[in-house]
Amino acid sequence: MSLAEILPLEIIDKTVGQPMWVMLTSHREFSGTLIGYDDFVNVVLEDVVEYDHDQEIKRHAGKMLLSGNNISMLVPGGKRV
Amino acid sequence: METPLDLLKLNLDEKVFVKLRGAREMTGTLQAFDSHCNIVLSNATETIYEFLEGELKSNTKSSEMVFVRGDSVTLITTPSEE
Amino acid sequence: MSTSESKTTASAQFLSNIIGQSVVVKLHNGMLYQGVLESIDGFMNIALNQATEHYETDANGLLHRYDGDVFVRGTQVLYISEA
Repeated sequence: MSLAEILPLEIIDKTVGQPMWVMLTSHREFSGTLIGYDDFVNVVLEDVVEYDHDQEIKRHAGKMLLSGNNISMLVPGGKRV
Repeated sequence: METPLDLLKLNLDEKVFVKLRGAREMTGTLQAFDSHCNIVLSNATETIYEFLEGELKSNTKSSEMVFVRGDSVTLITTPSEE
Repeated sequence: MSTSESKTTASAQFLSNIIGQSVVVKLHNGMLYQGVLESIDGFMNIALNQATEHYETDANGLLHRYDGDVFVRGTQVLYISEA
């Protein structure tokens, strides 16, 4: 299989269970363990840290459903600090 | 299970408090709504908040019957007793 | 994809699991609502019971306490999270 045949979402699918860094179209970011996602790229994360303008603003111990509406990028590996 | 919009039906003909985008709020009697959250209120009062010279000011507008486009609606609940 | 993946997506599963639980909901404008999740639909329209209102985080103080059910419009919802 050539590289071009890898679908973007296949990369996301391989990251399920691992740290994921989610960036929105605003200055808001989320970093947590990827539990799953759906066709709209709504994302379920666990043990999330929420950032705005690179400042940590809230920690979420449980699971979170993040609306796909404003997601711009998904970065496997979690937020680099 | 009852959806959130099903539960909104319980507020028909009752007084509601609606939060809108841009620091606006409305109270009135809920006459109708649809799945886009377009709503019709009767005996409605709109409160518009703004910061003027470092102070929070509010203006109110009243209307007998008003249609609110769903776009601007963020929250609907029963008004709190004051 | 795992073989014969079940039709219920991660999001649908999460939503059915948290009905009746204490949750926080953040809107795009930064308002945060904490309450008991009464109901939610596929558009992320949400009904909360015993909701409190905060800005960004509850550490910033209580803005309002709602006695009745609170309906939050799905298009405004940024996330819903277990409290």
